[in-house]
Amino acid sequence: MWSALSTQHSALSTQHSALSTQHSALSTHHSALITHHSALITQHSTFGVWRLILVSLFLSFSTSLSLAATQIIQPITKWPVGVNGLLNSGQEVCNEYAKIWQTTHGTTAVYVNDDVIGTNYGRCLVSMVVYHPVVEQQFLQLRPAGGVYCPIGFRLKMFGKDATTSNTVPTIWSLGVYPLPDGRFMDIIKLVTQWGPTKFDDSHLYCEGEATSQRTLSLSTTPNQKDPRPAGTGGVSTYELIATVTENGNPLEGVAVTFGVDVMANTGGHDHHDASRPKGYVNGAVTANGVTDGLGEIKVTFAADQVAGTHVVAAFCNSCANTSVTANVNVKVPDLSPISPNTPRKADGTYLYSLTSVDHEHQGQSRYVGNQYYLTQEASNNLSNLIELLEIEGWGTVALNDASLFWGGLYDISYTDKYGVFHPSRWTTPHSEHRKGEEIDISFTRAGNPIRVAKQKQFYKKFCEDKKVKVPFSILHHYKSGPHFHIRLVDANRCGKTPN
Amino acid sequence: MKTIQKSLLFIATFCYANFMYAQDSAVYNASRGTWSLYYQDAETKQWVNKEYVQQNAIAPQVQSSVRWTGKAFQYNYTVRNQRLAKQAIDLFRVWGIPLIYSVPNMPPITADFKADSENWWQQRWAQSSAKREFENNTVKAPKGWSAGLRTDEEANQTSFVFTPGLKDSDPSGINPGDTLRGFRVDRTELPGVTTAKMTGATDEPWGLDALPETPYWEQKVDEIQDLDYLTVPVLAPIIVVPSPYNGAELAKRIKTHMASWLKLGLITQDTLDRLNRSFDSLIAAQTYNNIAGTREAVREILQEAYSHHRGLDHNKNEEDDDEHDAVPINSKAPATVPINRVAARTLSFDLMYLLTRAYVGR
Repeated sequence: MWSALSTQHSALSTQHSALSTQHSALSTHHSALITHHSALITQHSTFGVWRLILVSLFLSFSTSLSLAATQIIQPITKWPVGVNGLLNSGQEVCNEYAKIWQTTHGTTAVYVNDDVIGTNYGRCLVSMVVYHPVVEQQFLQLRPAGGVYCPIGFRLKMFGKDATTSNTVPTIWSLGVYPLPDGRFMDIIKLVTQWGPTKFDDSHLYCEGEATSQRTLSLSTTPNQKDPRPAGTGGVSTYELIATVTENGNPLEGVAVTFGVDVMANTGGHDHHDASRPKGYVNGAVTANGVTDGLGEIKVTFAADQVAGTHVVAAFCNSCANTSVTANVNVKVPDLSPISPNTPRKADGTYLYSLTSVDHEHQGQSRYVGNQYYLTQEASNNLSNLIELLEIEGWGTVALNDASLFWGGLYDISYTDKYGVFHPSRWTTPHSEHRKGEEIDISFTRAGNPIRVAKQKQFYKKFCEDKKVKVPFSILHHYKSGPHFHIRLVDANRCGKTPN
Repeated sequence: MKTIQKSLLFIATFCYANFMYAQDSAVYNASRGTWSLYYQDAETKQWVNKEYVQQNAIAPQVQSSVRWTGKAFQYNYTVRNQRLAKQAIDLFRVWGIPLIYSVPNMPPITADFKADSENWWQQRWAQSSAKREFENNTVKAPKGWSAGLRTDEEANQTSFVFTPGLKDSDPSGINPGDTLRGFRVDRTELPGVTTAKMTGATDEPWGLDALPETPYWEQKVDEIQDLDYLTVPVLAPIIVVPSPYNGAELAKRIKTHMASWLKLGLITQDTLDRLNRSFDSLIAAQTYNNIAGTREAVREILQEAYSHHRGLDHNKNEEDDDEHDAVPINSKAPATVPINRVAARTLSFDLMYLLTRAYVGR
């Protein structure tokens, strides 16, 4: 009896040992996957351009793994919507949380990554340093659209634990996960902040499960297309994308696919962002729907708005293993380069020109390597001729103001109106041009080069007639926000006539 | 009723075809020298009534002279604005010169603008410096004015541009009744004739900039700008002396340049035909180093040139008498005299140069 029991025990022990080994291997595998996922997401946050490629790589990796392992890891299908638009990562969830906390509590005590809100580098560190006695006030719920979604057949996991078990995550997060009618799981995130710092990133929150379908959605672009230009800058402002659904590698007809568009914050040279930022359209609307054809494809046309920037076109397919895929579309005026911040000195030691824009919302890396001094080559050439001529005139240092943004498009500077009211940059003029890298403003008053109003007509005529450039440019004179010349550096033909 | 409908349809079709609104208008007031412009502002969409003052209410006279300094030919211009003028002259631009100059020691631009814009800018400044040095040695302006050398590669044209300076102490132009000397160009080319564009100072020279960019207004702007300046014939460095020297080739170049005077209204077809025949003789004589033939051909040409201008001979080819200062011409109309006096002086100067070199044999 004992012998039999012993034998059975031994067998059970062996089995247990084998299971432990298997469990250990799976855990290691799981851990590696999370690390891999984390690295991918970090890169994604830093290099948005590579987002599609990285996610695609990850997805293909996951799919291939699914043949060998039962449980696979999926990225979060959809992140919550915050007050400033769709969030893209756990990091942004944290940022959103920090902002809301700051707004509701009127304190700057919430820090992200030990830096002030708005500058973070891929990981989110939420720490409370202000005493607050009421626990509930440290509680934040992003809802109702604040849920994160997992595909059909996947469960939301946090720190390796099933997120359906509330409060199992030690002292940091609690989760409530709710099944949706279509079979997916949606989570309402509750962030409970405890004393002391807590790290959180996308490796801590993920979807794990068993793929119920080998149906795959992909999104590609029609080959040989140029980046679409911002609307109103001439040229082509549209871009074609193709969503493809396959099942076990074969095209699948009749599958419903939905498309949507968002625009990445702080792209296109705009260092400001809000929910009212204009973005492009798919098939003329905010969203588009359709079903795949015999090739398993459905095409949509992206149309750019006036504002440049990286747009994210997303395709959704609920019946696919990967319910959504995205592609980035860069809306830009091509081939713009910045005016050199390294100004030559003249014989008298003064600078030939200076960059004097006071626009604080498009400064890029710094005021002098800003996003607001971009021009085409032809315009740069003509500008250099003009600066040269001003030097001959003994005009002092030439004060260069706004040109075009990093990727062109609408230049929405802030300004103070005639009543003294400040208008921040909100995706509107007063810069009516400055969109194609072909115009620049020159200030009379900055950099110590005043010019009398009585002399402005000479200034105007001098450059019209003596521009010494191949293509004439004209100088349009206006006073909207202080005396300055708005200079069209190319293609202006009303600058005096040259018969011969 | 049908007639009215047809008329309306015609007007609508006409307006559409020309992208104009029925309200658009540009009316010229000859007595005031102004245009009354009525148009819809492209930005504000408001209808605007604006007056544009023509920049041609000047009365210029230009004396151009040329002399050999031992290194180059020095061209000097004296500009007078007669008392009857209503505007000050604020532009004197000698244009219509073929693109015959190249800036010496011009550093190349090798950097790619898209990939390495920083280097591109630095190389651009190096070029700019070389060009400026060349310009400073070539074109000089009187005190209070500035001089520029403009090149238009596409049009194959060079201009010498003189405008008032931008300092507070600088003048706003040459006022009616005033004369200004000191516009100067130093070059190695022999003189030819071209026209100088001259305009008057107005309060808003940019007055045409805001007009809508429609076919209607493009045409109107073209029409307005055609009347917006005066042209005066002047001597200018145009004829490149062959190197090594070749008298026949120089004669061919003078003949070729002379043909361009027809378009500028500086010579009549009859006179040109006669002079061409004499030039053919000159070219043949120079080809064979025939001094007697060269002298005879030059004599024929100068006789024709001088015969139409009282008091003109080779003593006046460098500098003419004050009373013969050039006045504005209509460079779009046929010549009203057989050959313009400045053109005759040009022939005199260039052919005396050719004859001198023929005599000295080099």
